[in-house]
Amino acid sequence: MNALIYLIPIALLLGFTGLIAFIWALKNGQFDDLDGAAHRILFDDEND
Amino acid sequence: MANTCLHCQSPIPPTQTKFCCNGCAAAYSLIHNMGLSSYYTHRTLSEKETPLIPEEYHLTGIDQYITTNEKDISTLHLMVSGLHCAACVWLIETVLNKQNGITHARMNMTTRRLTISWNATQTTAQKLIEPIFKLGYRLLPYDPTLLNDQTHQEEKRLLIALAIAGFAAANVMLLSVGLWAGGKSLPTSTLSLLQYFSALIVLPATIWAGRPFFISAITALKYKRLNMDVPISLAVIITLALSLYDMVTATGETYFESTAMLLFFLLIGRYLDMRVRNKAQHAAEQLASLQAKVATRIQADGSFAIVPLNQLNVGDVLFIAKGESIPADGRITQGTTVLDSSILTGESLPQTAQVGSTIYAGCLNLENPIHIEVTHIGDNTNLAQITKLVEQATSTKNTYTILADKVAQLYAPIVHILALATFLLWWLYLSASFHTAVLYATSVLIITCPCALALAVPAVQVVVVSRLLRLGILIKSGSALERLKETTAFVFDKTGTLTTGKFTIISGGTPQQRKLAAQLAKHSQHPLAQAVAKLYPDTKPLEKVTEITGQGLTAIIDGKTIKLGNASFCEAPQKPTLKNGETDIWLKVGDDTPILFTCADTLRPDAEKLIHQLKQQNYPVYLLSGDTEQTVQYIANKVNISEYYATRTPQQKYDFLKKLEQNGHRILMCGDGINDAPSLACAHISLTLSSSSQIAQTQADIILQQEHLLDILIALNLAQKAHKTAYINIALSFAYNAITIPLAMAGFITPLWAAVFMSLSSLTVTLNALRLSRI
Repeated sequence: MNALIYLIPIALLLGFTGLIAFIWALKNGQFDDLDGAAHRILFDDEND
Repeated sequence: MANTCLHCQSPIPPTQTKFCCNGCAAAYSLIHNMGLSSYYTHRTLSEKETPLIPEEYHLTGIDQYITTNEKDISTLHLMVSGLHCAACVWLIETVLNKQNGITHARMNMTTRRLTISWNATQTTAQKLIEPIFKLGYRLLPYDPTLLNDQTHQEEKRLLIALAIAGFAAANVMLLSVGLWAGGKSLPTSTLSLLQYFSALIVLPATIWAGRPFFISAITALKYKRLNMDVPISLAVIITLALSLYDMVTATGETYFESTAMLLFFLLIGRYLDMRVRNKAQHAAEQLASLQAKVATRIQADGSFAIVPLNQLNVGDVLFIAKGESIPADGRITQGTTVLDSSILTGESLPQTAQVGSTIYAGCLNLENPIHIEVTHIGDNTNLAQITKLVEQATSTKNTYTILADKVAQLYAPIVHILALATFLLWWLYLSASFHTAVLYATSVLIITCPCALALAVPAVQVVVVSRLLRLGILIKSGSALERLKETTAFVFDKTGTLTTGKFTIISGGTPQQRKLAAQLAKHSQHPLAQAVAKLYPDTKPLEKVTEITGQGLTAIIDGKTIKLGNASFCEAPQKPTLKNGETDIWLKVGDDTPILFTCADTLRPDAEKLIHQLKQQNYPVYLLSGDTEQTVQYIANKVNISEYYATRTPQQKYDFLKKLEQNGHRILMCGDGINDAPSLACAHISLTLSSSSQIAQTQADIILQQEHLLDILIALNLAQKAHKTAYINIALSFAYNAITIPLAMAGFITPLWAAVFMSLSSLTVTLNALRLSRI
């Protein structure tokens, strides 16, 4: 059972990283323009 | 499409070959020279949205919106109008990015806002945005800090709280599985370890994610009221305190997972509720922002500048292009034109206006560019008077208590009494220990906790509102659905609501004559001429046509003078006897007798069916209009409405609705004009079409984007279904409570099982609500 002492914190840390990533993305405005990104990919960056 | 402009696809005047105007030619060559011609293949134009025709503009006063940091990088935020598809976004960004000195250009397609940054030492804002103007888009700077983004921020905060609560709930549940599975067989040290880790997760999560509930509970208590957040907060705090005590003293089970799950489920309900309110609101605001809130001012040096409406002064001279709406009350100083004031007054026929005529904000300029001098601004304008009436209507309107709140108001005190009774009963009467008594009381609090109740109504609303949104019906608030269901009477406006507000030819002329008239009519924006032109939409316009404002059009073919216009212009023998609601337009070829065409405002194709179906469902239907008696009578007879009222002012319309309301009716008002705004504001539920005036869209609870009147029935039907489902949901969550509360009071249910039941009931109501997305 001793493994729990470090396994649980590691598991929590991983989950916490995901949570922080989500909050960062939200605050950074990654979810602000949900329509634009979908269309933007259809256009080439450089003219050809 | 040979006869349309290569850039904007509007008809080409006969003097040109490829473009309708120099502006379009410039925009086209600009796009080509930058190697961006693929714009034309990528763009999608709908009939309603033609690209704006470029004109020479420049912005004044943008300097105050520019912020420059210490590295000489300047930033400017702009709102863009004239955007119609993703290709525009790409075009704007690419054009900007090709310029020297630009460091960043990003356009948000959802909000139609553009952010640009550039190196202040290399270029200026004017230089950068000039090509965008040339492409025909209009830009307006804004201050992002002043923008009303409060709801947006709130939604973000709630989503973060939801994420934290979800994280906590998921992880604590994992640890709890260990606790439950191992139970008493686990060594005490492991047990404590799992408990301490749970506390470590739940404690900060509760403090963060529980804030919305705590704050709301404290506010309610301050006003000596009870709301559902009070028992929720109590349950959360007591379970947490009890678990912490048990953990530290190692005396019993902990219930951290109950706290986390409770918060998570409640936050889901709250988030859904907020989404309903904001989603449609955003869409409505976007519609409004498309209509330019700017005017073109003629500067002292004769140049044009775009200025926001609130910066106009009395005495300013404004330029109003053909097709533009009048931004302020004023007097014409140059030019003669025809004004369409149907949106303002409900009159269907446009009026001629010349130098010296007084004109009101909201009218549409149909024929020639004019200059006006602003005579009234702010509170003195005609529009502001109507706005005042709107405010009055809004303030006297009874506040509507939504279903969920009604239930909660009754429910909250019961929850507290039951919990307190359980505690007292066990502690004093059945002489249980203080600890056990608190435990049982907490179980009651959690069991009765209105998770399912909190989800019951919002879940239904989210499903229905998003479904209606997909159908092009915008519902601006969740309560609008409930109010829609309660409607007992329908009141309609005429021009632009039951009718399209556009004329069509109903009789007159041989096909040959009609074709000739159409060829001539193509040159005018006048509604009657447009009606004639629609007879032969593909025909080639005549050359060398002169328009005589307020009279008609004339051209010479094979030495013969051809005229299309009003009776006196075409030297008509006598005024014909016209049926009500009809108007005459004449065609005269050479010296022949003039030919009469009659036209009338067209009824929307589904208006008759709508009224018929409403009458079948036994709803009283009224028609209120600002137009003349004859026209209103004509339309009323056509759609079979017996109770109609003509020449009503906004005040009279408003009074009529008030009177109906006093007679116990719950009114659905459907209108589109500025003159309808006060009635829209005071009606129990109001509905408008997307072509309506901005003020009507702000006031209306529901906006029909497709302009299909039958959508009203769809919305009504779904609102009734939503109401039924919401009731079933509330009944379901009460049923869960009815079974579990006695068990909890008897002490059979630990907080753990309470949490399980709570999740089950939440799941049931959510699934029940989801049924509505399919029927």
